[in-house]
Amino acid sequence: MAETISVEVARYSPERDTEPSSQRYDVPLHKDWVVLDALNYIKDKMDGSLTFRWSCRMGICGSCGMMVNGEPKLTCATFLSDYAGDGSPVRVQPLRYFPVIRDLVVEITDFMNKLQSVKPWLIRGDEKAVSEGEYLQTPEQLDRYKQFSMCINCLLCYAACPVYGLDPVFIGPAAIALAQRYNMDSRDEGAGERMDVLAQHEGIWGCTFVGECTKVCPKHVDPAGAIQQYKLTATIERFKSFLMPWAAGNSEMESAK
Amino acid sequence: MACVSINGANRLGSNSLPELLVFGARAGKAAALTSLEQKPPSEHVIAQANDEKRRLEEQFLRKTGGRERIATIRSEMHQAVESGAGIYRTQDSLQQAADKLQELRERFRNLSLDDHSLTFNTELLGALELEFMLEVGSAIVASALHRTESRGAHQRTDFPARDDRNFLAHALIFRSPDGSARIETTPVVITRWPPGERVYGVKSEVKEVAAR
Ligand code: SF4
Ligand code: FES
Repeated sequence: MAETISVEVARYSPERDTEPSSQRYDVPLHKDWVVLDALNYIKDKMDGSLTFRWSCRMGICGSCGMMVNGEPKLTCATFLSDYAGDGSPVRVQPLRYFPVIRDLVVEITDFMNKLQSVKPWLIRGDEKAVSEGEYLQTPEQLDRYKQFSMCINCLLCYAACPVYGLDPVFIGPAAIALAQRYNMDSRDEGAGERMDVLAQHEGIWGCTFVGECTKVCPKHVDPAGAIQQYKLTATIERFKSFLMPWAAGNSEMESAK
Repeated sequence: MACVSINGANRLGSNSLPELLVFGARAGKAAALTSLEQKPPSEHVIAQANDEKRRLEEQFLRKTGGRERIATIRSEMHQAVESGAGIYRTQDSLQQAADKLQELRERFRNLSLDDHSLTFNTELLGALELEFMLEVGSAIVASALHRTESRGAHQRTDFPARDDRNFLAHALIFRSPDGSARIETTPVVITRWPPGERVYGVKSEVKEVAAR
């Protein structure tokens, strides 16, 4: 008989329950099993009603984020064996600060709208005709935003963010990192437009650089760095629009590219 | 969608992804536009939709007493298709896969779900996907049995040569009233690049030199 480990999973069904409860399952403890393997074992063999999101099993799709023993984790990249040993069960819960739809599945529509709101595409004043060819970019120019482009929208940074916890209207770490991904792109001319969007989010100024978002990010996006970077340029722009309204706009961000 | 005809017997994964992104997006947009232009559904269509709803409830959500689990059938299906209809296939291996898939499709009717909820029911989704995969798997095996030649990633070790005379064609597969597969073909339109021999290593270098 193989070694086993207990997994304690949050359960909630809006049709049946008034509040979440938890259920314990004993699953085999294989050395190479991640938390997601345990969940799938439960669903396949023990209880087909256990509900959770996942897809790629390789840290690409960003859909398997959950709280594991209280920390936001990609369950496909979190080994069960790291929690074995002291005999206590591994606790798996839905991502913190999000409304729960069922069991481990959270409602993310609000987040999707936030992502969309920062206009995450290249904005140009003048579009080149296709026949004129590509907008070229040097490797150095690519490096300025590449890190921010690695985000997989897993939401771990939101579940780690104390500002978002207090104020769910806050646009949040990943959306700001995504805005910076385009603001810092040498082919983009939309920083001014995006600043208008971000300026509506006072929450940004509430971010005190706790840096929890950066710590939990599985893709080393460093959203906290993006927020700091954004705040700095936004402050300069604010001053400029105050002192010399004719000069405000893209200049600061443009020169950073 | 499965026959947009730009890749032929080309490599499978990497090309089909951009193909999906380009043609998938176009198909989605076209479907949305078309649906906007449609009249409201007729009673006939609504009755069909209600039938399907009833089927899903009877076959999955309200059913009790089935004995098969999704995961068991799914992994037996993986095993059968992987070993019988991988890149290298023969009449025998394909026939075995076909028989196994037939058995699994029968056992599928005896499926039982633990989840009877109408909220985010991923088990129901899994069951529907499995039903589709069993059907698509059977279609793949049937057309591979029909194609007695080798081309691209379809390597019939019992028919190693390419046969343009009979098989420079797309296979179209239809469901007959009795549920079995019927195969027809449609010609390939060649625009710029005629099919060539697929070679690797030294042979491919020789071919490249010759092309220059
Ligand atoms: S920034 Fe990092 S933690 Fe946040 S959503 Fe993107 S990948 Fe996930
Ligand atoms: S399953 Fe895709 S990131 Fe974990």
